[in-house]
Amino acid sequence: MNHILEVKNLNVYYTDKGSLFKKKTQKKHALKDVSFFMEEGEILGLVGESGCGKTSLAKAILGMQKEMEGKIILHCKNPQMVFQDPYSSLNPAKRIGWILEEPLRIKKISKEERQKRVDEMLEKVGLDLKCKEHYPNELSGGQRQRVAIAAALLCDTKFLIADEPVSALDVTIQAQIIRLLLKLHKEMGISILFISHDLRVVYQMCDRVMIMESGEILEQGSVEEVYENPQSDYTKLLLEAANLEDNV
Amino acid sequence: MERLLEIKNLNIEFHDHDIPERVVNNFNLELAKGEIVGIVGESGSGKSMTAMAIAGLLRRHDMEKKGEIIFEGKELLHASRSEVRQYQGDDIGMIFQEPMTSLNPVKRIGWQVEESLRIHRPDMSKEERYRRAIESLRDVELEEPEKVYRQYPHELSGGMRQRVMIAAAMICEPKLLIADEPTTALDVTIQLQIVKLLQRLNQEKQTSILFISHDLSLVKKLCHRIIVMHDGNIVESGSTKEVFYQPKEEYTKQLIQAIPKLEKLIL
Amino acid sequence: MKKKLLNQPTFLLGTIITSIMLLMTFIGFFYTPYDPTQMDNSNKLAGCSLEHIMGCDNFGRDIFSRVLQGMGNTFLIAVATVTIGVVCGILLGAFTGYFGGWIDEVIMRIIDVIFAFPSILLALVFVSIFGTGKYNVVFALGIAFIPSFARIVRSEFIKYKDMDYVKSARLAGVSDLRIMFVHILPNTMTVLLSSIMIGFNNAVLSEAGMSYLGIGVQPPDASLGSMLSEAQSYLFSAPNYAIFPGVMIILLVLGFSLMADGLKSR
Repeated sequence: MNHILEVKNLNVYYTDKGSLFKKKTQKKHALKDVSFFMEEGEILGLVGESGCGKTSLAKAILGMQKEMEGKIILHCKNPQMVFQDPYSSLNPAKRIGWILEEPLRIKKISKEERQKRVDEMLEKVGLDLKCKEHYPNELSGGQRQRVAIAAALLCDTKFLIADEPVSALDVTIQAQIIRLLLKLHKEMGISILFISHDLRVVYQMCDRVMIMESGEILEQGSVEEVYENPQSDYTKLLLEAANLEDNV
Repeated sequence: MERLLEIKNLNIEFHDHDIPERVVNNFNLELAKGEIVGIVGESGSGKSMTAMAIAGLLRRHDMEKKGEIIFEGKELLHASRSEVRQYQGDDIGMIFQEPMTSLNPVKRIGWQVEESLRIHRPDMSKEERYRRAIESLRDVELEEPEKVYRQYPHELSGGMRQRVMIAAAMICEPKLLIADEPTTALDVTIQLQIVKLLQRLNQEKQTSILFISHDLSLVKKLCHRIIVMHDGNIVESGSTKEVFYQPKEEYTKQLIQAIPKLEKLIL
Repeated sequence: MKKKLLNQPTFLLGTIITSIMLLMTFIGFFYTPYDPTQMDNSNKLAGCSLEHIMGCDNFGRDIFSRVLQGMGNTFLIAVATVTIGVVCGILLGAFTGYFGGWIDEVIMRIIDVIFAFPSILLALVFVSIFGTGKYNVVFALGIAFIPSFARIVRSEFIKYKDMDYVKSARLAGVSDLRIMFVHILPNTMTVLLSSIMIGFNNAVLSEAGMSYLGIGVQPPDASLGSMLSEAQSYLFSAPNYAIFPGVMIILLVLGFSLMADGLKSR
């Protein structure tokens, strides 16, 4: 199978500007020597705590990171991202229809074609066509996340980064969004880098998983391998916290 | 078992919009000493409003409150502000979801932990307060409590801040601790630690805990009894085992179904 | 659910006052009961009567007609001033806020310097260089108004530029200019609108002040400020001469203040 993403020896720094009194600026490592690959059409899980460098990695892949060394090869055009908080990822001043048409509008696609594709996409993500007339604040969290996913997919991408796409949602809604992502993955063959802290969800969705702590990848491998035979203490801790032993 | 808290027919209605909005509808609860009760529900289910009502933190205007909240034989819902204040921070402690905003960023940890002693135990000497604060910080398993005492909130991690919050809430040895989504903003491994800490405090000090959360698996670990709320109503309540293994209501079943299981999703 | 704007008493009252004032201004452009510059010796400093409901001034001109015309002048100057301030303020604020860096530093320091002068003083300097007259006043006040709008827009842009929806727009390939003016700008409108109304008030007061000092609208044209300044010598013999233009200024400002208040508390 072809690789869709290759990351080799990626180092990302951020400069700590120091406070008012401490003038010295120092470089800090956000990612240390990160290397991995993603195959076309696979879902790769990325697990770690807040501040472990998950977001830095996502930003680096999307080309939003300034200070970095190493190689990132992405065999795919306009990568997209679905954000954690569906309350800030949709422009509150615009109607849903406008938001969804925007990526097509800037590609100078005709109005009829735009509307046709938006309608198709809405159907795919399981939203009512009426919601085009609504503003984001009139929708529920789950609906907004569906809109965000639709907007990302309308950019004609084969590669999606999903940054904790369900952790801001209610539990019953979480399951729906997970199923939706899986369905879209199957139908459209997109590769997904799935960032999460919930090992159970990662197990449900992903083919392979990477465990990350303070900027380093501790281990990576197929989900079954990592879960059954964790190598690092941190992974064991995560597995304990995920409550795996007593499933209802 | 001795009854600590009783809530009878609690109704809360917002009146700050054109149409009154009922957020809690006929809520009933009995809480015994040393018991841990979990209130589970999704956002907008009214669980946080209930907690705020017990803690006496609801606004005084723009809302209608009916029913009774009886804490150790004293009605609190319609009591005057000064009466409620005697309980707040002393017999009733509360911890919140956001450990980032619930501590004052310009005050040292020690000052904040001691604050309720300063109010409820005005006769206590400075040395005694310091001793109690250190003891309380050690109690929540913070290493080097003397160092933490002199630090500011921004120097601590999220998990440490939540521990400090618990220490501050526990310093007057309250009979009831209200924990409103205390783990939601924390990392999974830290969540587990906080739950274990609450469990230990409950066993050692016989503090009753009202644990409010949307995370059923945490509630299942910690609580003796569970109340499931939806749209301001109590859907189901009972012992943890009953609710989890023999859920009666459709909504409860849905919630339990939604807990991710360790098996591949097949569409 | 938000309260509807018009259900808010302050906003409703402000709207009513403002619409009456705007209506009067509008009528003043096309119709006045008398020619505002027509002198009539027999009616010098006449009090209120059925023929002249607000009385007459020291030249026997009808005060009501002059108030109508004066409101028109005051209003136009205020609108033009605020427009200059808002347009330039949005441009400067958007670019500095969105891009940051050294351009931001340079432009904001220049704006700080302008901000340091009281707007009347700045306008006085301007008028003393370019001469008196309506258009110079507009220009001078307009420039004095830029900094406050630029700062508001800049801080709003700094707030919004790192929002997730801006990031996704960037990922979708939207250009910076389009992100700035189509994606972010509509979000700043609530804040901008209330500050436009406050700015409008300041402009009305500044114009009145400048005309009062004799450097604004030149006679025989009327503006509310110039009428006040002419009336001050007759404050005791003909109080109606000062009262009516003064009340009009107050009502104009009050109406917009109430509306701005209502917008803010939404």
